[in-house]
Formats: sequence, C-alpha cells, structure tokens
Amino acid sequence: MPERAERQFCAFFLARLAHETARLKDMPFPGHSTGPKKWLNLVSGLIDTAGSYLELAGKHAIPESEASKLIREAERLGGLAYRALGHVVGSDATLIPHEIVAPLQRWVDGLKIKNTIFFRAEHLPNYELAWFDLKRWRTDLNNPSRSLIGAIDRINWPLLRVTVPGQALGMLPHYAVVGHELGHGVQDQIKPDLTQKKADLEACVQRITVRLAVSSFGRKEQLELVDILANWVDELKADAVGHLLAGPAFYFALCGYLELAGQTYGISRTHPPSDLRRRLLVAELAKGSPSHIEVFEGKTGLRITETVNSSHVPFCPPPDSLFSELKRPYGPLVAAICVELVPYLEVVASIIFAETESFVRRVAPDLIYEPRKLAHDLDSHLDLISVLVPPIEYRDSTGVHAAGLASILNVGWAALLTRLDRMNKPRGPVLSPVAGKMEQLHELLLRAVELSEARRVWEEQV
Amino acid sequence: MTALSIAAIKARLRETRSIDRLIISPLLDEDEQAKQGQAAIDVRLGFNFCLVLASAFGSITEFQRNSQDPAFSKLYRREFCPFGSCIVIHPHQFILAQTLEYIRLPSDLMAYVAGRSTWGRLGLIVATAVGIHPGFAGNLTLELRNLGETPLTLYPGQTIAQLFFHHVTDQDMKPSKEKAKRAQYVGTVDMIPRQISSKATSRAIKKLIKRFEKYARS
Repeated sequence: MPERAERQFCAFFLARLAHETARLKDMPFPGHSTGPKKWLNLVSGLIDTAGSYLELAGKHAIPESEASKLIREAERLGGLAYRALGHVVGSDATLIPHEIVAPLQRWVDGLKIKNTIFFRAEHLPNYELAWFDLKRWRTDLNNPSRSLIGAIDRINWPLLRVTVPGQALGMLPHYAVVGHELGHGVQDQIKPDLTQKKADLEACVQRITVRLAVSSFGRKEQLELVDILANWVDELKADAVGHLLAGPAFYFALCGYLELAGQTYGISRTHPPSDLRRRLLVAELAKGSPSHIEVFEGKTGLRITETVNSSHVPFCPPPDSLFSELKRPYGPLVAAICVELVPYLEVVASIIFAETESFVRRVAPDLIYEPRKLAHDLDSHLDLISVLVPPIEYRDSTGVHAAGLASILNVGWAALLTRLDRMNKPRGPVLSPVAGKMEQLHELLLRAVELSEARRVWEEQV
Repeated sequence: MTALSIAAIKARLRETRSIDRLIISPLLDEDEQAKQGQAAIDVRLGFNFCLVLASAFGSITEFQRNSQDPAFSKLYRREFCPFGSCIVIHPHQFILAQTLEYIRLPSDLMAYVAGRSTWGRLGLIVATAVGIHPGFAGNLTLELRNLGETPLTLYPGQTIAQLFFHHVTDQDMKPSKEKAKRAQYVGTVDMIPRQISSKATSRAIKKLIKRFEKYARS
C-alpha cells in the first residue's frame, strides 16, 4: 500500500504536538504544582494513542477503509490533544506570580479537596473554577496507550482548574477571590435545608406568575427556577467559603474585582446581583463580638461599608425597572425569575452561610479567619508594613510562626486602604506616586507570601 | 567603631518599638544563625538569581549616545530556584543572588556583609558592595564570584554570608534619629541595577563628555 499523504501529515502534526508538549513539561510550574504536569502527561498519552492508530494504519495487512478510519481517529485525537494544550496555557510562572501558588494549594489541602488541581492565569478579568472529567477516555477509546492509561489513573478526577486574571489585574490582595472559587470545589458537600423557608419560595413562585401574567407555573418554568436557584445558592456557598477563609480581605477583593471588572448589576442566570452579595457579606462581617467590622475599624479607623471600595458597582433598580432591563438579554421568564428570586435569596442566605460555616468548621477549623486573628495580625504587622516590613512571620509566647495567607491578605488590604499616606514614594519612575506605593505594597506582599511559605516548608523538613 | 554582639543583635531583633526594631526575617534557625560568641548573624541564600548573559555590548556604559536607558536588564537572565533545587557557579563566573532574609535596618544601625570563611576557602566571593546603610529595607543582593578552579553547587537555604552591625551616631555621638524622623525606609526594587550615577552626577558627566568631544573635534 502506498504511504497515504494524510497519514504523513497527521504524523507530522503529532510529532509537532509531542515536541510542544515536551517543551511545556520542561517549564517550571509555580509552587511545585504537579497539576499542570499531570495534565501534560494526559496530552502525551493522547498523542501516543493517536500515534499507535497511525502505525496500525500503515501496516500492509490493514484494508483501505480500516486504515482511513484509523487515520481519521488519529486526527481527531490529535485535535483533542491540541485543544487540551490550550487549557494549560498560563499555568507557568510567566502570568501567575509563582509565590502565590503554594499558599493557595494549602487552602486546597486544608479544605480536603482531593481532586488534582492547577492554577493558571489569563489576560481576562475572570476568576473561574473549571471541572474536567476525562477518565471516560480510558474506556471510550479503542486501545488507549499505556501512557494515557497511566496519566488518567494518576489524576484524581474531576480535575479542577482555577483561572485567575494575569499580571495587570493579578494584584496580590485580589487573590483572596480564589477562596470563592475553592468554595465551588466543595459546594456539593454543603447541603443547606431550605425547606424551612418553603412559604417564601411559594410566595416567590406566585410573584413570578403574576409578573409573567400566566395562570400556572408549568414544568419548563419550574426547571428554569430550580436551575437558577441552584446556581445562586452555589454562588452564596462559594462567597461564604471565601469569607470564612479570608474575612475582610475576601470582601475587599471581591468588591474591588467587581468594581474593576465590569461595574454591572452582576445579576444573571448564574450569579445573584452584586449589591446583594456585598450586603450579605457585610452582614456576615458584622457578626460576633467583636466583629470583623469592629476590629477593622478599631485598628485602622476605617468602617467597612457596602461601598467602601466599590462605589461604582451599581445597586439594582426597583423590581419593575430591573425586569424591563433583564427582559432584553434573557427573555421574560429568566428575567422574572431573577427579579423575584432576589428577596427569597435574601431570606435563605443566613441558612446557606450557617451551613457553609458548619461544613468548614467540621473539615478545616484552622482555616477560619476569626476576628481575633484579624486583631492580632493588624497589631503585629500594620505599622511595620508602613515602614516596608512585609508580614512574613510573627512572634508570640511560643516562638516565631509563619504568617498565613489570610493574614498577609488582610494586612495588605488594611495597608492599601488606610496606610498608603504613611508610605514613602518609592524610588524610580512610577506612573503616579499612589500607583508607585501600591506597586511597592504588592511587591512587599509577594515577598511576605514567598518568605512565610519558605519558613513553613523549612519547618516541615526539620 | 563598635560592633554589636550577638546578645545586642538579638535584643534589637526583639525591640518593642517597631521603628527601632532590627528586622531579619525569616530567621529559619535563630540558634544556628546567631551563634553565641559571634558578633554577626549568618544569612542564607535565597531563591532569586540573575545570571550574566553573553551579550553584544561593546562595554557597559552609562552615557551611550541617543540612549536614556542603559538597559542593564539585557545583561542578565533571571532564574528562580525553589528549595531543593540548586544552581552551579562555574570557575570565574559572576552571578547575582539574594539573601533569603528580608532585612530592615533602623536609623541608628548600619551593617557590613562579609563572606563566610568556609565558602571563601572554596573560592567563593559573596559581596563586593558590602556596606548597608541605615533605613535599608529589602533582601540583600549578593554579587557572587567563583574565584576557584572547581564549579560550586549552591542550594537555596545554605548559609552564605554574615552581617556585622555597627551603631550610627550623630555629631553628638548619640544614636542617629535622622532616618527615623523622616521614616525614609528604602526598599530594594530589584537585583538588576537601574542606574549607576545620580541624576546630578549624570547631568554633569554628560556635559563634560560634550565639552570634551567638541574640544577633540576642534
């Protein structure tokens, strides 16, 4: 049988892919993260499988039709491998600050998330948790290569990929938002009992019916409501996890991100409105005695309010106006559900936050950022960071300890919001004195994350 | 000029007034790095390195024609080596490194960086710009050069240099408060130098170059 041109081209394509995959495997990934390499091994496994199809297609004994089928399948797997390479872009140290990955991985481990995970950055204003479950390739593909089977078996599925904004928007204090994304990683284990507010849900359904001017709430409407409600509840669970992990830093980071990323109402099929999320988080920060808000105000002089760093994120207009605005992009049904779910979500929010807290207290009590810890961190580090000492570690009666990521983020936000005027303008050319100080603060916080992690790693070895 | 003893250094590390506190952080093993009987603190090799690249530069000059920026960054390649990894410095090679420890000196202390004799006997020179001024804040940049004939493998976390501390006094021989008053703490921006001369010196030398060139053409 003459060598078929398409087989040769596919072989060339696979060789290029293999070369590129090998190059990426040689790159350093921040925080000794094994996730990207496991993903790249999966890509190699696909390429090897495709290669074996091509090899078989080249054998003389194979009928033409069978060879053609094998080549097409090899091309398809090559395409899959090529797309899979795209998923790992941005996970090396060029876009994501390498210092932050290991401390974030400690949050992952602390929450007992066993899935294989990796972090990557892209030049988009986007924080996102993506799930990949590809273990079916083991059974769906004919004769998967040994390397593909090995790669699949070494991943704890579903594999999670956390996306964060790269470089320009990747300011260290904003990384507190990752707490929210990790919340999505555990959301299915948090099961708030919303049946106790059944009457409120019935009232919500009634309002939707009236708004749509229909006589009954049919199956289509019910499915849409269930879907949107589930999305919104998951968002609140994730907000609650972020709040528990990082306290005020999460609030500031989320609001700062909402301010920079869009300044919209934020309301959609997938997300409740931003002003509601802010309001609920402020209510959580006000709980306890002393509360996070009281501690923060006492130590910094700044009272945490709903618009403290996101005054341009708009409040939702009254329901009728909101319905009119949402009808255009989403249609009347989704618009009506979104508008009428807001008061219901407000009623059940306390149940969702309480159940999430109960979950985190059960699996990771040490990760909860309590107001007394905030007080200690601000006492220990806030004045020092004004004179360029990063919050690397603290001393107490039992010795010297590494500062945690939540401590660093909270000290960072406190300095950013209340201490910039006490910092000197850094040397060298800067866009503006304030921007220069913020950049310096970012650098100090990166250094704190790097060196506190160094202390932790060292202590784990000795 | 008096040097601080280990007891005095430790006392300054625990100073309650933050403005007067000497910061060396993290001290991964205080007992090992601040040994009794010494008058210095050992510091460790950090994670960030700058390797000197082969380049097409005729020479490093601050006053090239038609150039505001001497672009020193083009002379180096940055390398990050985490704990457990290593970097090899070959005979007669020159690289920049950082201390693991972040250091901030209060207004009345200055320090000298010195190599450790063990490394010195193997041919490794760790610092050429050895004086650290009051108010310095940052990780120290070390200029490493292997003067020996054998490659040396360096690991982040190894003790690499030592710091000797001295009091800085004012004209009345009292501890200097000059920096503290103005709180002029200056963090190191980068290992790679941005400029060699101050603006004033730079302006003056550029004028002198022009005058000399005019004279040479005449």
